[in-house]
Amino acid sequence: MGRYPLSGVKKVATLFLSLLFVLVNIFTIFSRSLSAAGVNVSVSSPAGGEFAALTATNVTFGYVATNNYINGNSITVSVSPTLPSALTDCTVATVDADGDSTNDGFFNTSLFTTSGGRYDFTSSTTLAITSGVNLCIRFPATTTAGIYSISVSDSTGTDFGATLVYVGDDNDVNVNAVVDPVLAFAIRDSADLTDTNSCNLGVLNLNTVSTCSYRLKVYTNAANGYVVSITSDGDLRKDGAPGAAPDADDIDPIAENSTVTAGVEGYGIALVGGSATGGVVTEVGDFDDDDTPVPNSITNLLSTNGLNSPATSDTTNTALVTHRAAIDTGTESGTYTQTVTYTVVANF
Amino acid sequence: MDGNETRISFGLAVSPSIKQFSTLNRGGVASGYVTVTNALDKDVEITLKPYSKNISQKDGASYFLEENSYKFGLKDWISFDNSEFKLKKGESKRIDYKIKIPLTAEPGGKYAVLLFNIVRVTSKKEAENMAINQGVGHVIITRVEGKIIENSEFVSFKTDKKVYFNWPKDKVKFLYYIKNKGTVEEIVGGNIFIYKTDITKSFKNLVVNAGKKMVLPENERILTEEWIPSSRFIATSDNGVEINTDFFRFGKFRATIKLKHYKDGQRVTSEKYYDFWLLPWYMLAFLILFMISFAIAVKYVIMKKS
Repeated sequence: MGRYPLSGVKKVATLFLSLLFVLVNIFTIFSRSLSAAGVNVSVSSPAGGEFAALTATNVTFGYVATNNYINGNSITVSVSPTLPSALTDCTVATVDADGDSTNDGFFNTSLFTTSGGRYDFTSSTTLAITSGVNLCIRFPATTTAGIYSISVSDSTGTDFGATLVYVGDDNDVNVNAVVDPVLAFAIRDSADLTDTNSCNLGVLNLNTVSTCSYRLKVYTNAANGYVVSITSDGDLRKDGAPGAAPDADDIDPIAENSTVTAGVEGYGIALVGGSATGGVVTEVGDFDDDDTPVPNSITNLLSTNGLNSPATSDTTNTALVTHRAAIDTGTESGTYTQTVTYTVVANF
Repeated sequence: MDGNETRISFGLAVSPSIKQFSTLNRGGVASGYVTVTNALDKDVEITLKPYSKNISQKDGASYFLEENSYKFGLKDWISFDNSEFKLKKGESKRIDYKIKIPLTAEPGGKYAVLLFNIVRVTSKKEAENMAINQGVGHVIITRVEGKIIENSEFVSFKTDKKVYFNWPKDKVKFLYYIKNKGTVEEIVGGNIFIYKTDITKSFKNLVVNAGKKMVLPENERILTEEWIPSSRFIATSDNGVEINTDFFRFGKFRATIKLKHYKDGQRVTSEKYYDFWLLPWYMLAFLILFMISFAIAVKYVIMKKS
């Protein structure tokens, strides 16, 4: 009697394992390329693939390979049209083809001709499929003006492709332009419709948390983005000397990462950093959680790592600051004020 | 209207926002300028003040120190004509300034910010509760000739989380912490390799500090890089149609950073690694459902046969 249930278990196990096997195979098949194609070969040096005629020149070119290469693989390089004299190895020969700081192989110097050469791998690459392989060949000083193709094909039959180099530049026109980095900063109302320099919390009462909001709007074309910092002239206070410490004359600053609650005296800000059109916005330090007391010394509020070009009215690529205040029965009546200052500087 | 006019559609703008001068001799003078534009909806009064530049200990933050306490500050050597001026709505003004390096200046990097602050345009009474001021800065970077020290310490390397349950919606953020003990800014470089167990089989390679961010002398900074997975499950490229394998990353991974920086005047490569986990909730759910289904099926067969 005991054998029959075990046999059933085996059947179920076989069924599930078969299912798993099928799923794994489907994933394996589909995670590979469904079609093969040439690779994108490009010249990294000289710039633009251009160099002067009748000048011996090192030419570095490369591509991202489909697979890493191993010992015994090779890449055949062909140059067309044929050069007046043979190619040679570069001044600094290519030994580390993929830039991982380990030697991968060499150009077989005996195979350099007027129309190509061969790079032989003597050990495995690690970055050929991510950073790519970059090879350097030296065009001879006899190279005349013209457009030459450099084509590559590897011994595995997987990757092939070509690029061009331009020798002689008599017909080129050099155009240069400099674009200065620009930084612009505005404080806008919460809908980003008008400039503002005030935030009205209104009449505070025991039953609600009073709020007011505005937006920090920054434009920059600088690639490293910008940093916005915040400071204040002291706490939200009725009179007396400015200062951040709780006292009878102020609305007490809340503790970091606590929430302003109706009926409990407290004051702080909430930040929604928003987005940047060409980078990521990071709420810095204590401001990555809300609510946060308003500092009275310069403190970073948010930073970006790229461009930002908000639209005319943009509630996405701007940061929203909300001041939140509540009072309790011990809060003295009067008018409470504070000055908050924001500064923006390029990130570098 | 004087100076270069910049077409800015909003705010108070400066151009250029950063200016890097070449190395200056002791006793030498360099000239620079910055154009400030008022694209606010009203006329403003502006104060201009130089600040020395510093960077916070951990978050790469920028602080402006009015006093020149920073050894590598430049502010006391900057001069300009007008520290207060008015700008009408839509108006631009070119501000010329000079940097005069004292004969006694120590060699090394020197840094400052020219900060343009708007004099508050509303009174506190008008503002009722809160008045809000704003300023925008022009960063100045230079060096004083002489023997410089290039020396930094690579302190630590880690990810922002140990486990990522929301992968690939979440990105993996790498943080690397550098202390600059030299007298000039440090600009680190290098790569981060991500792999399972064998670095030679790394499937992702991130370039470190492509933006060439600086760690200023006698300061420290945490820089970040992000591994942002492709959000598309199926992608087409020159290699054909491919399924995004990032969706199937699962388990423990290792990231090794090879950081290029200066140590005792030599450009060296320092290496550190950090392990983290990608445990996508949907793959965990699939595995759990699979195991539960298997257990139920086994139990059902046993019950049926017995």
